[in-house]
This record gives sequence, structure tokens and C-alpha cells, in this order.
Amino acid sequence: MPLNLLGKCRVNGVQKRRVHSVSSRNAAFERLQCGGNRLSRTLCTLPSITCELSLQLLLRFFMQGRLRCEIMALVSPSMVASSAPQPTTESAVSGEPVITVDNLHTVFHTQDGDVHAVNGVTFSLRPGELLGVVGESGSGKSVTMMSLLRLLPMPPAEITSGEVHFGGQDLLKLGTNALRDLRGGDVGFIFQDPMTSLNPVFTVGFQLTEPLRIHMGLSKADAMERAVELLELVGIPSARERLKDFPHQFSGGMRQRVMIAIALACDPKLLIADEPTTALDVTVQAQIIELVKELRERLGMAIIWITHDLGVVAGIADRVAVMYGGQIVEYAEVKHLYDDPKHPYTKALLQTLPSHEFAHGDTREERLVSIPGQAPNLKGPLKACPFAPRCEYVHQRCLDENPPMFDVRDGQQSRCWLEDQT
Amino acid sequence: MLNYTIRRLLIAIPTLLFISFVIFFIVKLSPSDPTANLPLTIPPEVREKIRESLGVNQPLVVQFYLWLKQLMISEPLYWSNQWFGTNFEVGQRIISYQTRSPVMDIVIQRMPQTLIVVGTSYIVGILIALPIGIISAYRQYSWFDNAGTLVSMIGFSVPPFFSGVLAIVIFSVLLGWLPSIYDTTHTVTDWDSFVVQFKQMIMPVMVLALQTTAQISRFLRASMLDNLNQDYVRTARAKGLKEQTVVLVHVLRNSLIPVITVIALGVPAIFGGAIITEQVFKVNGLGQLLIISIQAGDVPTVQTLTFMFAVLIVLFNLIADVLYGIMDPRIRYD
Repeated sequence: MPLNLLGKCRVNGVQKRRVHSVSSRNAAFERLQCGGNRLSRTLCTLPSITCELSLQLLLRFFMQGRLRCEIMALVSPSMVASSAPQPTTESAVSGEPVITVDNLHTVFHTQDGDVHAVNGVTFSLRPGELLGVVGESGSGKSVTMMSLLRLLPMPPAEITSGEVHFGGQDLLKLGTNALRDLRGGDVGFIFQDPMTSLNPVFTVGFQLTEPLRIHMGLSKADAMERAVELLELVGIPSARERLKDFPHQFSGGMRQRVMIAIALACDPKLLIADEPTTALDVTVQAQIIELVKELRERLGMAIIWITHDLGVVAGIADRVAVMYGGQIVEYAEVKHLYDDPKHPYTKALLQTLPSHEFAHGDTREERLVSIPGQAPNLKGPLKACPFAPRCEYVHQRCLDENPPMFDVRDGQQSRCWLEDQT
Repeated sequence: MLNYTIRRLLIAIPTLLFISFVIFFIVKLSPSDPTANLPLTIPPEVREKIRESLGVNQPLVVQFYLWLKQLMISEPLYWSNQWFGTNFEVGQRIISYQTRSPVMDIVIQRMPQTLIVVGTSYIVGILIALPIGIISAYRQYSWFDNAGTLVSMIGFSVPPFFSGVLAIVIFSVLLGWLPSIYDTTHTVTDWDSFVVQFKQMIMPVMVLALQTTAQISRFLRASMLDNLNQDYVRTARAKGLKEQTVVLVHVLRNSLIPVITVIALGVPAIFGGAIITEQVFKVNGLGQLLIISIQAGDVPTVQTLTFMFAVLIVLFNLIADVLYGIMDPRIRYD
């Protein structure tokens, strides 16, 4: 079976795609061995190896010192999906949107004044679609998604305007009881840190059966049966025995699997994953990503995947929303985003992906690129483009008014005055 | 867990021996004369005879040995005869200087009064503290929380000899609703006598409960606040649980872990009696017994009571640790 080693490297700041075709696993091995600098660089720049090149193989290279790349690349075997030409995802994604978010605004009332954490977020998701939401800390990723089901502590948080349509209802106008039925029912959540996301004093079985009993009205025994199925679904061995265990008896990755099982308990139409792999080490990260991808294919739910790891997004997302200053600044299909980013912030983000080069003999020089400046202070409503102070393309108009979303091409939008064609 | 408990119990033996030693010598350090309270008409040589018969002229080590022997051997044998009908040869029991009767008999007489008043106050205090702690934490900085903070401050800072007397002045003297003296001879036989008992218990119980409530509610509030911000609470909400379930099952269960420990550690104090409050309301319980024994230089009674408290404290420390292990599945003692 021919394998394609696909990678990208940056030549003079321009993204180039390279495909290395090899015929077998051994050949891939050799190719990587002799490929030396160029290939390792290729792999690191954008880790996307579209072959069944196993994690072990990469690990081996890594151990042998042939593959001088960081952890990033080790995640890559799981990132098969998007960078390669994959016609399947788009056909799979169809139908009426599961959720439509329109012009969502969330404000935190603090003692030092109002913090506008979410400033007009608009997006929609069709069944089976996976939306990656990326952005740095404080860009409003989590707050946006927590706002959808009003999971934020209110006060201090307040959703000041916007509409969230889900299952024919506006979630922001929904009563508390109806909303509670959706949480854990039609909408599942996975959170960042599996170490603290489970209640330490209750057994996994109890925590897993809770949503089953309240949303599906199952009896205790039925709920237990379903819980066993769920744990098996997420790949936890000897599920029946493990139901009696407490969270501290599970490893980090296993706990995140339990969290996923809880989120999937009532067959959700939408799964919101808030940095589900950030707290896990890379190998476990890869397993969890694989698991979610597999479950999406089997169960067909839409997924919102919040992360700040561009590598992860490249691997799993259909579309990507890049967030900055509480708004989506670029919204595109994943291949467009990586091939042809439009918004200066997206470009800058892609520049920050680590690349490693061999300089003199064995010494390795690392250049970690960063975006100068700091994340914006969101006190008070936005009057200018929030990225303007850090943007290399900044001009007067950026400081005068906040740009709207401009259509760049079909399915790609950018919130930047540079795209203003009029 | 069983191994751990047994190990702890074995360690408790040398600990208690050491404590008894320290108690004995500290009490002996105070220059008290068991005959000092006797009438002045008794001539000095008779007093000397009395001292001799009480054994206070012997070397301290001998006295300590005798006391220990009475405490560890005579008393257990005596109670074994009493309760299990055994026929052991019982030696000299610990005798109070004041009453010339065995100390343990007095303790047994006094125990019910203390347990009824102080024990009830402890339970009442905890029952009031739980909702206050939960609501104060859930509605932090609300008027309820602020009121709870105020009440706790009062409970912490106002001593019972003040709040007790204040209560007597208001409810007994001014309003005349409640009796100012707790009558321990009163027995409950019917509804009317129950009402009398209830009325005379209100003030001592509430004065003591105020302190318990202040302590436990603050503790629970702090513990609840810690837990309310935990990630698992967000998970519970995201599962669609009712707010009630989230707070009263998920958060409370975790918050109670440290609080249960505090409650268990407070139990020995019930047996110790509320020394001052018992004085104020004239409840002749263990606390009052300790006070009058100290005043009368009744060394055997003071020593025995203090040692009893020491045993209870060691025991409830162990119980608190075991409870912690039961409440928190993450704790392993092996």
C-alpha cells in the first residue's frame, strides 16, 4: 500500500506542501532516515503525515534522534483526516444545522467594570460536523461555548444579546428546566482537566448513571447496563468491574474517556469539548483524538472542539473558527485556513508553530516565534479591531472601527479591513 | 483500615500512660491539702492522721503507682463485677477526698446531666450550623451570609459566662419565661413535666449551641466555598443535574469530609462538660464536678476526670481519622 508522507514547510514565509510517496512502511522508514533535515523539518512545520505511520515508528525516530521535532509531531499520526484530500467529510456533513449561534454577546460584570468577553459570535454547525475553535487564552473560546447552555455563573456573567437556535428553540430564552434537560441530554460536555472534572467521592458508575437516570428515566439496573456499554464504547477494559471504582483509581486518559462516556450517555446531537486534550500527555492526547473521531463517525453528532493547539485542529476539524478578542476573526474550512489564511492573526498564529532546524552539526537552534504584544483588554465594548495593536498590516481604519466579517471565498470569512473589496 | 485502627489503639497505650503521668505530677505540683476544707475544730494531729490514711505523705512515685493501680486494675474489676456479674477480688477504688465515696460512682451520677444538656446542645448546634453553612456558601455575600457571619462572630467572641447571664437576665428576670436554674432532680413522667424539662433546657442548650453553630457553620461554609468552585461542580451542572442535587449531593458530600472530622474531635468536649455554662445554670454535671474538685483540692477526682478526658480525646482522634478514611475514598491507611 503506497503511503503518502505529507508535510508542509515554510520557504521564505510561504507555505509549501510536499508529498513524499513511499511504497511501504519500511520505505517510509528509509525515506525518513535519509530524508534527514528536510523531511524532519517538513514534519515539524505542520505535523500531518497522511499514512498509517504508527506512533511507535515516529517515537522510534524520535528516540534515535533522527526526528528532531518536538512533541507536536508525535500527535501527528492521528491527524490523518483533513490535510489530505478527503472528500468524505463534506458529503458526510449535511442537512439542517444542529445549532445556529447568531451575534452572541456575553459580558462579565466585575467590580472594575464590564468585561466584554464575547462580542458578536456567529456560527452554525451541521450534523456530524466538527468545528475547531482556536485562539489564545482569554480570546473567549470557552466563554462562548459555556454561554450556549448558560453554564456560566450568572452573575457575574450576563448574556446581553444574541440567539442560539438548537432543536427549534432559542436556548437563550429557554426556561431553566428545559435548559437543564438539554444539558447532558442533547448536548454533551467534555472539559479540560479530567483529574478534577470528576467528583472524587463518588464511583464512576454513579457519576455515569446520573444523566441516564434523569434524562432517559432509566432504572438503576438499566442505567448500569447502559453505563457498561458506554465504558466499552470509549474503550475502557473490564467495564463492569470498573464502574465500582473511584475516579482516582483511573489514569488521566482513562478519566477523560469516562468524561466522554458521560458526555455521550444520552446520545447527544452536539458535543462541546473544551480543550479535552490539553491536560493530557501526547500519546494519550492522540488516543483521545482518535477516539472522538471514531465516535463521531459511529454516532454522527456535531462537535465543537475548543483548543489552542493548531496541530490538533488540523487533524480533526472540518471547519475552524479562529477567535480573538471575543469574536471570530476567521472562519474557514480547515484546508483553506492552513493553505491560505486570510486574517493577519491567523497568519501570525500559523507562524508560531514550532519549527526546528539543524544548524551546526549536532547543535540545534530553536526559534520559537511569538506574536508580539498582549491579548486585548476587553473592558468596554470594542471600538476598533482588537488585534490592531499587534497587527503588522495595521492602518488607520483598523483603529477607527471594528471590521465586520468579509466573505473571502465560499465558506471562508475574515474579519479584517484588508478583505474589504468595496 | 482494621490494621490501622489496631495499630493506633496500641500506640494509644503508651500515650495514655505518659498523659496519666503528666497529669498526676502537674496536679501534685499544686500545694493543696485534702484536710483544708475540714472544720477548724479538728485538731492538727487528727488532720495528720487523716493525711496519713489518705496516703498523701508517701513518696510521689508510690502515690502515682497506687493511683494507677486503682485506675487500671481496681476500677475495671469493680465495673466488671457490677455489669457482668463476675466475682473478682476488688482492691481499693479511687476515693474522692471530698465525699469519701468512689470517684467513678460520682462520675456515673453526674454523666447523664452533662450528656443531656451539653450533648443536646452539640446536636442542636450542628443541626443549625448545616443549613447556615450551606446557604451562606451558596449565596456568598448575600444578606443571609452576612447575617450568618455576624451570628458566628458573636458565637466566637461572646463567652458563655456573658451570653448565659445575659440570657438569664432577659428570659428569666425581665420576661420570666424560663427558669434560671437547671433542676437536675426533675424527672420527666408526663407531658407537663416534659414541658418543664424542655423549658429549663432551652437556655443552657442555646447558649452552648451558639458556640458550636458558630464554629461548624464557618467551617462548613469555607469547605463549601472551596468545593463550589471545583471543576466537578461544572461537570455536574453540565450533566443537567438539578441545582439542588449539585449542591446537596455533589458539593455537600465533599464539603462534609473536613467538617465531620471537626465534629468528631468536638465530641470529647461534651463529656468534659461545659464547665462555665454548667456553673451559670447550676447544672451539676461533670464540668461543675471538676470545678468544685479543683477548688476543694480533691486530687483523685481531678486526676481521674482529666485522665478520662484524655482517653476520650485520644479515642475520638482515632475515630476522626477513621471517619476521614471512610468519607474520602482517596485516603488509604495501609
